[in-house]
Amino acid sequence: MQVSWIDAQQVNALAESLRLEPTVKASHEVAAPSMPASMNEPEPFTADEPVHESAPVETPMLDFRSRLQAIRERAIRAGLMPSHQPISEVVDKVVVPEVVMPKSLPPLEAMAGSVSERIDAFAKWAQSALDQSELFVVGDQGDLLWGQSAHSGLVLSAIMAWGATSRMSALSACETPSPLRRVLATGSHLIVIPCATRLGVMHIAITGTVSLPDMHLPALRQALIAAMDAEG
Amino acid sequence: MIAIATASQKGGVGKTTLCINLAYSLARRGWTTLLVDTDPQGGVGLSLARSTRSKLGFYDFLSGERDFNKLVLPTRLPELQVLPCGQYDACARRGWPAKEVPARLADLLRTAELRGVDCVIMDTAAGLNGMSESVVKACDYVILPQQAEPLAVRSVPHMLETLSRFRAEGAGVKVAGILMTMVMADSAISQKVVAELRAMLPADLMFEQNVPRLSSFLEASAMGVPVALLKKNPPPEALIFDQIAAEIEQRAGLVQEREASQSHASLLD
Repeated sequence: MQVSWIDAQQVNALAESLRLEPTVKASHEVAAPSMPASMNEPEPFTADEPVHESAPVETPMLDFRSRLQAIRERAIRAGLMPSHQPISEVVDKVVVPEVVMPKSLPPLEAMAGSVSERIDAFAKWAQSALDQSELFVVGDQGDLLWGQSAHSGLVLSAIMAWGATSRMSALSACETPSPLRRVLATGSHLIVIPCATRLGVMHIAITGTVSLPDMHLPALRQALIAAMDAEG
Repeated sequence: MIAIATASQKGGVGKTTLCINLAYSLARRGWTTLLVDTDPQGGVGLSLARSTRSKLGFYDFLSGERDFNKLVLPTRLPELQVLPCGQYDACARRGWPAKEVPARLADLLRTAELRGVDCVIMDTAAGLNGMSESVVKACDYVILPQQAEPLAVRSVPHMLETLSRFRAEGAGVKVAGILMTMVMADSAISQKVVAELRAMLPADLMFEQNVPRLSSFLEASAMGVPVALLKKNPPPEALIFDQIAAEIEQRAGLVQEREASQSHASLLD
């Protein structure tokens, strides 16, 4: 006598239906938002056909953005993400630095004297070409070797933070980092040129209302290296 | 991470006992495990400590408490943490929007995953409706404990039908298996019920291990510990839950998941 009163056929059919893989994932697994079709298509390596204006992709992009925004808002509500300002606002604040051409750099005369005298000579030479800008020479440990201004603390902080970040990179062991360009909180443009001199890494920092073009940076770097290489 | 709920239409089938001991066994086997009590009765907390009645927990999270650290209780086993039921009545008085429950449950599971939890075990109230329905739907797997007595197993088709409906409604939950509980070795009827169900259902839908009806489970409950901690040397019945934990590892793919995450990257990856 059967005690469970179960219809074997019925329960087997139900069991079979439950053994099929579900068509959706469990709700805590976030499905990766699908890219708009135009982003999935691989770009051709060479352009064999004439380039035309691409068809507007506004609708899928808007849809994609709104889905990303919804995911972000849910993450913020769940406390998984800080509720900072929207990315779109941050993007709007990116400042394109205004570039100014300084006077051409005068020839650098051979330097002599103590280290501080040579730094002084280098700084005066560089300053003569950088009209409205302020110049600092900073040691690798954050010592201000030349220059004085209300901004020096801000400049030193920027250099030290950047130096610490650079040292964490594997590349720092084998090459001198590239110059750093930043807009300070005061609105000034800061450029830091690291120079691997005979006495260790030193930084030339220049702040000004306008930015210095890249073409002059190697000359400044070479001048400081030459000044430090000179015999005392 | 995987989330496993236990569910049954009938109450008193041993869901809470299973959850506590299974969570303990999984943690002992090295899985960082979070035991969540979604039953307003608070059986998990009441089984383990007197003080849990006053603690915040699952329902407080649903009501908007975001600091997970305030809610989760550590245990003597570093791999095992407990999220008690919390202040159900206070939260129910304030109310929570029913529509937001699935999203809050998903947030809970994601938070657990971010804390490095490998396995979430969710104890539910009897019945497959209301909060229990939402919990089961939010999980990856559901274990179906069935008391080995005629009246209890007669509800099996009904339960499978309900789970089928959950799937049709878009839930991704899979059945880890039906687990026979409170099996009485000295009762021919109890044994017959188990035999009938095993004969009727596909083998992979039934856990190989049964949970017998033993007085040691009552003793463990009285002492507020998992069975394995009842005595200095774990009693043999503690191995029952180790066996179930091992079956879960296989059925839910826990082992494969860990192997995949810990495998070495190949040179060309």
